[in-house]
Amino acid sequence: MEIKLEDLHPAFQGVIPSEIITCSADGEPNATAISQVYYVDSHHVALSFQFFGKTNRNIEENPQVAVMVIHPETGVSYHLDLRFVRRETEGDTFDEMDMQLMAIASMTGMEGVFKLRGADIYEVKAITKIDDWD
Amino acid sequence: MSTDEPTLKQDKIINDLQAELSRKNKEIEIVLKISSEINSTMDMDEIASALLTSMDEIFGFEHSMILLLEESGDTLRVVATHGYGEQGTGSTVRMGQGVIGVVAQKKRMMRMSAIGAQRMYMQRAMANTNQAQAEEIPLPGLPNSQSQVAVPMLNKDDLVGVFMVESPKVHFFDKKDEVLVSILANQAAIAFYNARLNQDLVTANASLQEYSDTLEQKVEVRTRELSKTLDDLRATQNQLVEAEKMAALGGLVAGVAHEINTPVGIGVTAASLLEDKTVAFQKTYKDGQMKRSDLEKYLDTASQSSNMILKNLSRAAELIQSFKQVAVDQSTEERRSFPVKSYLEEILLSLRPKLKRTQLTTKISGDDSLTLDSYPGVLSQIVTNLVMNSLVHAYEPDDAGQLTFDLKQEAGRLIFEYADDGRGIPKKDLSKIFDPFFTTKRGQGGSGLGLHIIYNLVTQKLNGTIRCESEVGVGTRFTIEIPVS
Repeated sequence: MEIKLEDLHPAFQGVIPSEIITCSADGEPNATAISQVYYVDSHHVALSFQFFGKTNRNIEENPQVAVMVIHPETGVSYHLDLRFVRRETEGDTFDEMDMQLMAIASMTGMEGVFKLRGADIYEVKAITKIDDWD
Repeated sequence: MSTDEPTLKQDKIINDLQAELSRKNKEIEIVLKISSEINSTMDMDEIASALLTSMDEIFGFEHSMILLLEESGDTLRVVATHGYGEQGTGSTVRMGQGVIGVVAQKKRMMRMSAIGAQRMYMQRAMANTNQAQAEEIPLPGLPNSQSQVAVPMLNKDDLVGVFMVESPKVHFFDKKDEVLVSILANQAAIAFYNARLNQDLVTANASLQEYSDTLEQKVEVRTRELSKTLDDLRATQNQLVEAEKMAALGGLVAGVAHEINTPVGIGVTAASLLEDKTVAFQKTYKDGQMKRSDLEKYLDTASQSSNMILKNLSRAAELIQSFKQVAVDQSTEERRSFPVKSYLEEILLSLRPKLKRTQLTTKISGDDSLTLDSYPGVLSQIVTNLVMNSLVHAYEPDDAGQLTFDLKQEAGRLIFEYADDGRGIPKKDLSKIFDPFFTTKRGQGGSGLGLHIIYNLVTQKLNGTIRCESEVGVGTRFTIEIPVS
C-alpha cells in the first residue's frame, strides 16, 4: 500500500528527532539530527537552512538526500528519498518556518541567535517504511 | 462481484461526502451561534467569556486566552482566560515574544506542535555552539504547552489582539481547527473593536455632557475675563493718550520759552543800556559839566531804548497771550465758543519753533468769521498731531513744502481740510494709518499713536468724521468734518 506524505504529519513535528543523511561529491556521507520536516504539499517537504555546515555543502554538491523520520504514535521509522529543488528566502513556506523558529527562540531567550537563512524545498521521490527494507 | 465494486466505491464516496457536508454544516451552525453570541453585546468581558466558553463546550479547546494590544503598541495584555484555574488576566507579552508575540508582530496565524521537543532541540543546538544558555522567558499559559494555535485579531489591517488556544498534548490541533479558530477570532476582533468604539463613544458622550453642563459657567467666566481685559486695555489706551498729550504740552512750553526769550532778551539789553547811560548822565550832571549836547544825546538814547523795551515787552506779552490760551486748552477739556481761523493761527504760532527749523511754509484759508462751539484743546491737539505727522513722515529735513489749512462750513458742519505736499502714503499702508501702534518709524521715535489719537478725538470727542487721501509723490490730505455746535 502506497504511503502518503499526509499520513506522516505526526512524524514531522520532531517529537522524536529526525535524521538527514547527505553525501559529498566524492562519496563521503554525513548524518545529523533535524528538528522538523515541514509539509509543503503531497509531493514536497521543506527543511530549514540555518547553518553553513557540512550538510549544506553536501547538498550543494549532491542534491540527493535521505531523511529518516519516526512516527511518535507507532514508533515506525520511514525513509524519505528526497531531491533538492530550490532554496526559498521569502514566501509562505519561508514565513511559516521563520515564525516558528522566532517563536521557539524567543521562548528560550535566544531571539536573533537562530536565524532562518532559507527554506530548502525537496521533492519526495519515494517513501519507504523501514520494515520494508531488505 | 466484480460488477458491484464500482457501485460500492461510489457509495463510499457519496457517504464520505455526505459526512463531510454534515460536518461542515455543523461547523457553520456553530460558528454562526458563537458569532451571534459575541456580537449581541458591547461588553468586552461578555464577548471574551462567550467566545472562550463556547470554544471549550463545542470544540473541546480546554485552554484558551484573549490578549489585547496595549495603547503603547508594543505589548499585549491578557484580558480573558479559560481553563487556567487561578491563573488569571493581567500578565503581558512583548511583541515578538513566544508564539503569541510573533503572531502579533507578523499579524499572521501560526499553529505549532511538539513545542517541548522544539525547545529541547534548540537548547541542544545552543550547547553545541558553545554559547551561554539564556534564561527561559516566562509567558502566560500552560507551562507544559505542546500545541498552540494563535490567531491575530485584526480589524481591517489593524491589530486588535491575539486569540490563543493550547494543549499539553503534542499533536492536538489540525488544519481544520486553524480555519475555525481564525473565523471566530476575526469575529471576535470586530466585536472587540466595536465594543472599544462604543466605550470611547460613551466616554466621549459623558465628557460632552459634562462640558455642556459647565459651558454656561465657562462662558460667563470667560466673558468676565474678556471684559476685564477690555477695561484694562481702555485704561492703558487712555493713559497713553494722556501721556502723548502731556508730551505735546511739554513741547509747547519749550517752544514758548524759546520764542519769548528773544523779545525779553532785547528788552533786557535795551534797559541795561538805558541804565548805563542814565548813570553816566547823572555823573555829568553832579560834576556840573553837563552840556546841551549831552542832554540831547541822552534824551535820544532814552527815547530809543524805552521804545525798544516797550516794543519787545509788548511782543512778549502778545506771545504769552497766544500760548496761554493754547496751553490752557490743551491741558483742560473745557468747551467754549471760539473763532476757528484765528485760533488756528494761534496754534500755528505755538508750532513756530518746530516749523522754523524746516523749509516748510503754512497757509490758512477760509472764512474769518467761522465760529465753533466745541473743545478748542482737542482741536489744538488734532492740528499739532497732524503737523507733527507731516514733519516726521512727509518730508526729509531739508525738503521745501507747504502745509495748507482750509476751513468752510456746510450744513451745520465745519469742514476742515489739512494737506501737505510731501512724499505721500503707500496704498498698502493707507488702510492702517489710524490703527493703534501702526508706524513706519518704529525705533526712530514713532509711537504709532499720533493718527490713532486724532481719529479717537475726532470721532469720539468732537463727534465727527475723518478720512485720508494720499498719493505717493504728491501728498496727503486729511478731511475732518465736525458739527459746528
